[in-house]
Amino acid sequence: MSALPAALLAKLGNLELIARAAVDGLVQGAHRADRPGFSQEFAAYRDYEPGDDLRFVDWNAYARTDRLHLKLFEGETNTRLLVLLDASASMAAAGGLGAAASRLPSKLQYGAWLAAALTHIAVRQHDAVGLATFADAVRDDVPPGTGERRRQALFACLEGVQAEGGSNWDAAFAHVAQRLRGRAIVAAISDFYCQPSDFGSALAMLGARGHDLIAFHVLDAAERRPRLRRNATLRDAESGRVIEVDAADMRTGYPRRLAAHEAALRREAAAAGAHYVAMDAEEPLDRALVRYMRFRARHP
Amino acid sequence: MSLLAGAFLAGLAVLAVPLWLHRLNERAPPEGSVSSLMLMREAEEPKRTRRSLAHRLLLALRLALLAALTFAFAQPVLLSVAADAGSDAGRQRLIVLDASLSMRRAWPDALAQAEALREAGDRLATIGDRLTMIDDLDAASPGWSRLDFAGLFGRIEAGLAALPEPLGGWEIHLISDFQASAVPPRFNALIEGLSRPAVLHPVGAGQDNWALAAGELGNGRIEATLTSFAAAERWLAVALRRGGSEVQRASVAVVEAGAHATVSFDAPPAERAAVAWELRIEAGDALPEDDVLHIVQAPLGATTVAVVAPNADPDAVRFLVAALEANGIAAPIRVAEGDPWPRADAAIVLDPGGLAGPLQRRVERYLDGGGGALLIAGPRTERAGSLWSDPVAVVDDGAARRVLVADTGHALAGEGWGEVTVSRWLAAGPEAAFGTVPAVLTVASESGGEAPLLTERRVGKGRLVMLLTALDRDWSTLVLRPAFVGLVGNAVDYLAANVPLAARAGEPVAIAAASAQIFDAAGERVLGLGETATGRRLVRVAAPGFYTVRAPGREAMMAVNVDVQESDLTPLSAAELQRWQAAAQRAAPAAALAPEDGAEPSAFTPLARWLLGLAALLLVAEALAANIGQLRWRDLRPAS
Repeated sequence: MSALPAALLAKLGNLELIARAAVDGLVQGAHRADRPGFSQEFAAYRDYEPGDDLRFVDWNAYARTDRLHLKLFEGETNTRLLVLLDASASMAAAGGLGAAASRLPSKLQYGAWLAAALTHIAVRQHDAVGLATFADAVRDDVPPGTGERRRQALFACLEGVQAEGGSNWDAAFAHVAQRLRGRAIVAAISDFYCQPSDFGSALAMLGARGHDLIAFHVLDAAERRPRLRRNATLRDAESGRVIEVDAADMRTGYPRRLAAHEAALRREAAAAGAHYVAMDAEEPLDRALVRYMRFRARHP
Repeated sequence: MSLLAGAFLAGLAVLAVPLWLHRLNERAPPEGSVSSLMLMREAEEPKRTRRSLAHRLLLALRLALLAALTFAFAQPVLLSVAADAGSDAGRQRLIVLDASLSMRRAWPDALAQAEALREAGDRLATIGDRLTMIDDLDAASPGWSRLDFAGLFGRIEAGLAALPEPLGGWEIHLISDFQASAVPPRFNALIEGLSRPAVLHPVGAGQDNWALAAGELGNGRIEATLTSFAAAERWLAVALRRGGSEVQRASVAVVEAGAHATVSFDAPPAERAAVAWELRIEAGDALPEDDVLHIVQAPLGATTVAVVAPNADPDAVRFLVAALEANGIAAPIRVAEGDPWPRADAAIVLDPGGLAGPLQRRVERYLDGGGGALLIAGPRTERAGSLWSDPVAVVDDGAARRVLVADTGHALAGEGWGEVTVSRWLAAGPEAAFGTVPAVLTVASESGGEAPLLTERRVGKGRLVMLLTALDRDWSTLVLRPAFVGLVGNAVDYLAANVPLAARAGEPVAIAAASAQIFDAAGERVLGLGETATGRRLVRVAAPGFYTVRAPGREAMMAVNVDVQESDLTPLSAAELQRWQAAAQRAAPAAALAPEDGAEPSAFTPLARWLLGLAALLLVAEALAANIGQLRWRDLRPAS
């Protein structure tokens, strides 16, 4: 598969191009069984037989394989996707732990690319897609809809998102619960610096309403692998608290605590029936999507 | 080096290096922003505080180390007042007492001055003809000899060379009566050899004094010369003693300072044994030690001299006979062709070129048998044959040339050669010089070098002394000068291995006889075989008096007297002394600034050695602080 490094995507600048490039890479690299899409109506392919309706022939597959395949669908109801993007200040912080911050995207950028890619996929499948960004409160709220105009509106919203303020998950999830009347796919993109129990409670509230939940946990490389040669004074991007951290502890204790935190988030997500996807802002976006789609295919 | 010198200022700039490095290391940890501190732990506060203190201590040590090195290379000095100079750490003070004869009357003052100056750690010494280190002032005593200030500091330096150099060097404090008569004509000779701080401490004052300056024997009389160093006229009684008893007495008036008076006594010739005469004045003056004069009268015919001059210039013979008579040898033995060789203590050959073969061979046999001869050149010397051993030629360029004393320690060096000029002399060929030892006297030649004028060499067991100019006024002015009489007398004594009849206390005297011993009037041995068995046989007798010199096969008396120059107790004027002090400070580069009027003399103390020592200590402290600090921080670090 041809991976698109995050640094390369960052150079593209245009969010539509980034989303298209990421999704094209995803399509070219995926197995047939991993065909992307959030629609629950698609079931399977079968060989064309004389008399079948030619509208359901997959002409793209014919172009590649020189054989006629017929798409089979389980139902006619469209799926709604709501992307919930964390735009708090913590999503912009990078470099305090020794990473080459200028060259790599911030977590917010990466989250925005991820949101754009999901939007692109949904629009291609004529699914309704919406977006909500939040920090201390919900900032941008684009209700789910279909069509090119909605896609452009979503992209414009994503391009203008700024990271500031703290994270208020209760407000965000309450807004989602209020907004979505029927069942939907809710993709939450955040660094999830919160207590795992609070995270689990919020997910459980949405899960109880029948929503299909995906938690994309985005961290940057410096957060996963801090490189401090000596003690450093660090400021919390959201609370403003300043402490001097021990370089030795950052090499030994911190990775253990981070792993424990991720494991706790994973357990809480599983308890709420949600998918937990750990993502690295340095990882190529299309590769991360393929990894998740394979996971989703195995865990419907 | 000035503290404003570029190199010093550049050295100071090096101090910025540790400041910069420590600032890099000690500055507040870099501040950065992170998404959340939720998973991070704050560092322990005590560890930061301790590190900060330790780093500041290290910084201070390193800055001090660099500053000490920079200042050390700038070679700073500390200006100190002389009275406090001894308190400078590292500098060793040497208190030197003038132990010359004149200091006997000022000795209590000198001891008091030394005691007042002395501090813990100071070294003590006396200076006469050499520097003598002493442990305590009680061990110091004045001597009998003359102290001349010419080259004084050079002699002190020579004595210090045998001692370990103190860290801060020596500082010399000289206590003396600073006799004006001891100052050399050339003022710079006062500070020659001086390379250290020196402070002069005068003691004693000018006092009236009279001295017996000289006593001459001749024509059955003793003529005593008295010298006054007092302003007032005075009658002095002079007593002549023999064998401890007064035999004659006379009075004489001495009128003014520097004036001389003479008085004569009958002194019949000694028939068989030498006679010891003692002249004494009863002056009751400041320096009684110079009121006694010792004279030894040799017996008649004590020394026999053979004169070999068969075809010599008659005038030369007359000059020689007169010089022998002046030295108490009234009847030299004339040796002519065909005469048997006489029993003689020494021989003098005039113009050896005039000798016939048989006589020349007799002279050679005399020398082979251990005799001593003085050869004096003449017009026919070029034909002297084997006596000269080398081809010779007469040098005569028409110019009168000075005579130089090349070997001042030789018994024949004598005095008065500054008045003698030589216009014609014999020169050897380039392949060999006259004699096998360096010349005693030389002539300044036209080429700028020096040609031998008086030299000696061994012939068989004997000793041959050669004078390479003739007793002729066309050759030199020698026969017209007193130096000639001295030369003849010294040569006879030297060749006959005679003991000199007189010597000065503390000054070297040549004893030609091998393995001599010297006893004082009480029969106590003052110099043993070991001290007189050196090659040159130069000995020094410290105290005045009569001495007996015993050598194998002979015994002789010698009179030792003090140097009358010590009798002039007039000190240097305050202005001259201050000039000397200032010159001494200028001469010693580490020493000195010229003192201001009325101020104590001041001196510089070099600090470079101390600063280097301090730098070494700081280096050790820095290494300890750095390593101990590292160990403690490691101990404080929590186990991971």
